[in-house]
Amino acid sequence: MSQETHEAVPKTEANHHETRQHVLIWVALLLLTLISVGSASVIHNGFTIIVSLAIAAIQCTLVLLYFMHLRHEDRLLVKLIMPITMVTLAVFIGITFIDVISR
Amino acid sequence: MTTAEVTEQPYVPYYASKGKYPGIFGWIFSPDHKRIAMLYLYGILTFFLAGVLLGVLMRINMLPGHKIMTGQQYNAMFTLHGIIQIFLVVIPAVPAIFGNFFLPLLIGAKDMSFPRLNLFTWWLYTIGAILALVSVFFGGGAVDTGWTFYVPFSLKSTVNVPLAVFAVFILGMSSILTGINIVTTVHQLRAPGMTFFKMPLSVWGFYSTAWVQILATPVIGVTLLLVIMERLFGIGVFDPSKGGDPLLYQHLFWIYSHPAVYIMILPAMGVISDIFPVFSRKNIYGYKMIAFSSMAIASVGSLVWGHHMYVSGQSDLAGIVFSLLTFLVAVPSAIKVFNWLATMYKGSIQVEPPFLYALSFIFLFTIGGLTGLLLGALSANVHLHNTYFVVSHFHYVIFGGMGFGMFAGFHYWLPKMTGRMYNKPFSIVSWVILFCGFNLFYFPMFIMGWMGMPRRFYDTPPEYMAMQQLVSIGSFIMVAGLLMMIANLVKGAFSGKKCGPNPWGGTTLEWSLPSPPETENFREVPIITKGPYDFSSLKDSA
Amino acid sequence: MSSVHSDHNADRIGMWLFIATEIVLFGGLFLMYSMYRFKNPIEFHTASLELSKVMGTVNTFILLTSSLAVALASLAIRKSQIKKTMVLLSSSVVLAIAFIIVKGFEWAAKFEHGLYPNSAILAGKPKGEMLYFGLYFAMTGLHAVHVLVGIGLLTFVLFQVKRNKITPHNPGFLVNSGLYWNLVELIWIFLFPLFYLIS
Repeated sequence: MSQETHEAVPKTEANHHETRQHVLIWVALLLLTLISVGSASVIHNGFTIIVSLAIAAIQCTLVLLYFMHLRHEDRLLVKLIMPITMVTLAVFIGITFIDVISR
Repeated sequence: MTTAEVTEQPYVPYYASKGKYPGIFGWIFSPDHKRIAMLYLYGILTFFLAGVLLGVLMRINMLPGHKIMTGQQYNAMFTLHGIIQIFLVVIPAVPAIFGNFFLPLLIGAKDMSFPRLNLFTWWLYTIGAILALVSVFFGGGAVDTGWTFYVPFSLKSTVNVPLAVFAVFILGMSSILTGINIVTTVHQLRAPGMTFFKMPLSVWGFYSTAWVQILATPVIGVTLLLVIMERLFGIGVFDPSKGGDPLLYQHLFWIYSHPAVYIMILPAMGVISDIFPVFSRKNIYGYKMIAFSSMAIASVGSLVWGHHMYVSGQSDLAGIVFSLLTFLVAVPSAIKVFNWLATMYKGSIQVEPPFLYALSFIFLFTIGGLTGLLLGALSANVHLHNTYFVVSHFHYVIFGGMGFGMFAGFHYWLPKMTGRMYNKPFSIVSWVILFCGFNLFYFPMFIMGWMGMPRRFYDTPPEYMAMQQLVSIGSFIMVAGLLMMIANLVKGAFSGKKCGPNPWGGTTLEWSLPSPPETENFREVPIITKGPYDFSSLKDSA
Repeated sequence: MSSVHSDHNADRIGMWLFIATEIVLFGGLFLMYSMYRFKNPIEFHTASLELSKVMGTVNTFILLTSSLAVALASLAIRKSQIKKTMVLLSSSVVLAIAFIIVKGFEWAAKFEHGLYPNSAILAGKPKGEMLYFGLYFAMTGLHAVHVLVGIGLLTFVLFQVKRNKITPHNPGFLVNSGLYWNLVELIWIFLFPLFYLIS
């Protein structure tokens, strides 16, 4: 069932709507990049990295949800793969940090 | 199962069916999961024997008056022994041989999800193996860094590190793709009615392993790429003279290579969990706990890598954290052991070869696991690190655990793979020799390590000489048992008695098929209504 | 991804698992980056001034647009708009090549200034800056390799669409290639601020 909904040819209107949506997301991504660059030249302290990484995370989520169609994903497994990966990576980096910080 | 219309088609076992290509090409280009598994079997068996041979040479070298190699050659020997046995044998062995052959059979599927990708992994494996062999003979000679390729030595050593490292990278890719295939197959191709908790426990073993393969292997991939870049371009990320941190190499290396131990042992544990119910004629005790403990070992086991680095200069705090996590992994492992024991309790036990190998798995793995706790304790580790104790510990876990689990698997499943039964009394005799030799070989190494004998030493201080001889003699006995066992299995595979579809009285799906199965496995899709270890129907028919 | 049964769900799961491995592959590099940056914050800042923010931003825009083109292409093929699909795919390939060219100029500029691994000039700089450039070349280099693979892949897809091997009812290969291309972009989204925007 899920297979059909994913692969079937969507209605033209819905598709047109989706095309516009993609373009809007693209504009948002460009703007976020500019904000990131701008904030880096305004803020000159430790917050730069926080701001720019937060923006990168938002951009990443937008790409995953829209350009990579995760928003329409109906398989729980596929939805979970990215969170699992990110958490794994965060844990790897976090535990290594325990060593580097306290050495 | 056999209905009128099914019997109309003649039975053609998978190895006899006509494929697209003739002769050997029908094998090396075949997407059939069973043929791919057999290809892996031949490759892995060859390399296993090669690795054993290197081990024997090292043991001969340790006998007094038998210095058959130079120190440099000895370094190359133990490095090659490690690379071959770890990357070419134990990591791929159970997932690639049994996973490929039996996963679809166990879940009622006709093949894996990506048959051609599956074949591609075998090609990657072969290419990696060839590159590893080539690296021995060209470009400065065989690697002498130990299988861990620790920097900064692997950056400075004049031998052919880049090629060997690249070979391991390729093997890692093969392992990742196998993992992807297994996870997808388990999610997509289970027969109707086979819920996750009706899967045989070996499938849980393959499944949890596959996740580790997918999520941990890329880390070593990129680490090895960095070593290559460092050697070729001198980018400096691991080079202390350029600000690099060699400890970070160890972190990245063990982020993969510790979970790799679970890639080795988890599927073997799964196989064992399938074997005990069959030879106890009893449902497995605590199915869900065994299934969950596989996932728990896979996840917690990925967080303990730092216990390889207690004395290499990481911080005390990190050491404490890693030590704590290490002790935690013992819990799910112990759950499994107790559940296997409880499965046998009050069962009607059939003492057949697979059962004996499985039983020795528990014994050896428990010794390996408990000594692992000793090594995982911070204070004891200071005394024991880099001694024979460590060598003995991981041989108990990997050879005694994973190796014996694999042998149990062969004795259990080879009749299904070939349709022929090996000589059972002979295999019990070889089991006795193998088991005794194993303990005579590795147990004294615990004592030597405890007394302070360092690993990777080319020479032996006189006070350890007597035990060193004992160990070498034990190793010869063990290898004799090993060769007897393999010869018996090979002979059985080619000229043993025909064994019929179900020689052990197993209840999982593969035993409902003829031995060996046909190319398409199932003529009609099985519908699952019972758990995997339901012996009640067997009692009625017996 | 190949499949005899052409099971679209399986293809999708397999592709996402593959993406996960790619992310962990770069994750190892991000791990190293964060440790070294934590230890050498000032050197990383000084070294990052050598990079051109303008070029970095331009390349980010190029890659974002290229991703959009691929994402739109996988919508278009389902609408049976073959011609539009091919135009979108070609433009994403052209943009990808543009990305590589800009990257090439950046690398060339570094080499002109003697800022490459093992160079005499870099050897005279503080260790933190050596690390920065070591990581810069390793990470953008590995990323560039992925871009090159992406160019090959998308070109192949383009020809398959042209030869009617990828059809509106069988767009799996295009969709999965698009996922790969978006992954390449995802990694750049993190590389860009980490190397160009340090203060």
